[in-house]
Amino acid sequence: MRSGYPQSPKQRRPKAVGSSIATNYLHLRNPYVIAWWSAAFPGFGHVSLGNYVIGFLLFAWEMLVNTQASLNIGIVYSFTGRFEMAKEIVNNRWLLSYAPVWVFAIWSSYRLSVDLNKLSILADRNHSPIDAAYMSDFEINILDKRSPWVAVLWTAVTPGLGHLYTHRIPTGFFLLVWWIAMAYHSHLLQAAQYTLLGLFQQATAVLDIEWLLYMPSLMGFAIYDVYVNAIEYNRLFEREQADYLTREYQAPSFNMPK
Amino acid sequence: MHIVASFEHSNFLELAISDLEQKGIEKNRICAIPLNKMVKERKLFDTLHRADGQSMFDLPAIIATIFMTLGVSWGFMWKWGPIIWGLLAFVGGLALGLVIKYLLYKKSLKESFRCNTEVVLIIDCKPDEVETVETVLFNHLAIGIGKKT
Repeated sequence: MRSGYPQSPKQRRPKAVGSSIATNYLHLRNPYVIAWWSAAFPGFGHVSLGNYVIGFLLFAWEMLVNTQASLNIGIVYSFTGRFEMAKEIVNNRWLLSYAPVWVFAIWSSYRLSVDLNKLSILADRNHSPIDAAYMSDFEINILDKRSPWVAVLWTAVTPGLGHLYTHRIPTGFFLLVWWIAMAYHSHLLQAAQYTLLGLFQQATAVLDIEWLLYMPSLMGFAIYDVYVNAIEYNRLFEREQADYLTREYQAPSFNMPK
Repeated sequence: MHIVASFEHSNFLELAISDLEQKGIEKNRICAIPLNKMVKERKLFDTLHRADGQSMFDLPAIIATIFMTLGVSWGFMWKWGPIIWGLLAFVGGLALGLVIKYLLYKKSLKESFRCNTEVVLIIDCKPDEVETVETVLFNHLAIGIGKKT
């Protein structure tokens, strides 16, 4: 047995499986919170759980149908009491296809988090081994302690940066790309500049509400997810180190104080 | 003679053990005992080393997202525009969520600041090694060090 290394290449109930790009990791989740993020933006619940393929698929679906149906503009008109305008703007050639997939995303992520919670508990009880580092010729992914608040701060500046700090690169890349796209199409930065200059009317006029309305969900999710991510990677680090110390530094021949 | 030290989990701890081995303390004279945390309730405020609390940001992030969406929508009709109202609503929602979380978890918050030992290290050493061992432990962020002669 080589010292210091987990020995099980394939586990039936793994706790964490990683690559140099990210560590996918089962830990206890609140299914209602995951369901909420799916409701805020289909795909986010799955992305948070680590189900990237499903998450990205649902996200792409949402972007397509929402923009084609002008749903976000309809939402703004409805929130501001302009119901006739809402009815007018929404494209009913697309709108009806929204509900089934939206509900599926919520239901599916809820169910998944309930199931994964069970597997997480099983993995804990089985003491499934964890690797402390994954390196490839592309990236270096090491378990380490990172400050959740630093992660939150970078995310608040630009969603995606915090995930690069915690080394969850797929989420970081995904959030960065979409944040840039949304910031560009919504004219957010121009409006921010007008707002800073006190030119509120120009700011309001330049904004594209359809794209702007995506951004609160993206920002809120990014902050929540990076915080949980930093905390849980820290716990994984602690668990791995505790396993290692117990395995290597509790020799039967150790002369305990008498 | 035994030296006992307490640590938080970190890479410094592994460096400390490795340093001791470099300085001639054999592996079977070092015993590390990771402690199980006895706090059952999830904690609210988290530091780098006492990590927990996915509960901390869930409600604030949810309320902030809802408020910001509403703030942006209504901001189009109000004087300061959607940017300021969106941001104000976001910060307001975040603050509201944090206050609610704080009130909910006030009790467990007190417990979480109690102490932060996570690993106990016991080193069986000869009298002439004591100083070296203590220096190594001290230099690698031991929380406390004691000895039994």
